[in-house]
Amino acid sequence: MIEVLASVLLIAGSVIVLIASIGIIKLPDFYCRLHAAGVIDTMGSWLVLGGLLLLSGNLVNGFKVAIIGVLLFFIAPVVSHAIARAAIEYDADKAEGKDG
Amino acid sequence: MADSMDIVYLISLLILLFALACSLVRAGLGPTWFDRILAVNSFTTKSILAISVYFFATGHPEYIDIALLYALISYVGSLAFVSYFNQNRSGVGDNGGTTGRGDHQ
Repeated sequence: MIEVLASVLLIAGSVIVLIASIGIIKLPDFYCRLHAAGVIDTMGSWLVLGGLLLLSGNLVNGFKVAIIGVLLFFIAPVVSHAIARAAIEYDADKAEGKDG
Repeated sequence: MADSMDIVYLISLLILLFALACSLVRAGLGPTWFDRILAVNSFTTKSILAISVYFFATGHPEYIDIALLYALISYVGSLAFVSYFNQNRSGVGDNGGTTGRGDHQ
């Protein structure tokens, strides 16, 4: 029963990460891509790590998986916020095509 | 039950690898610097997930320390890129490495 629930969580998280990646490719603007990467990636990683947490046999491995989840929960919004703030300061819409 | 779990691990790993390829495509053709930084950050998150799923699939879940260390050091790279880009843009060259709004204007 636990394995069925863990399988559902793993597949759902992987599909959400895939949707986020397709959004990163297909969305038209930088801020839209930032939305797709920042929001959905956190959710997908939580689902995948939750599935692995159900599958981890003993307490130590489950604790490591939980630590990874907590780290991603705090790190991913911080990095997304920093990138968005830098892009707003630089005015990323005017910087289209001005690379290097 | 072991066989079906192997199939689930395989499907999850294949989907995660395709997602990694999507991130690399955006990092390759992103029109601005920020797209590349965003794609690399997303790539690190997905690779952490892929490493975790792979070590659970091969039956060695104790090696998940590698994913833990990668989660600890990966965000420093993205924040360093953002900080370096802000320094480069302001033209001052040394603002203490912060990404604050008003501290270098």
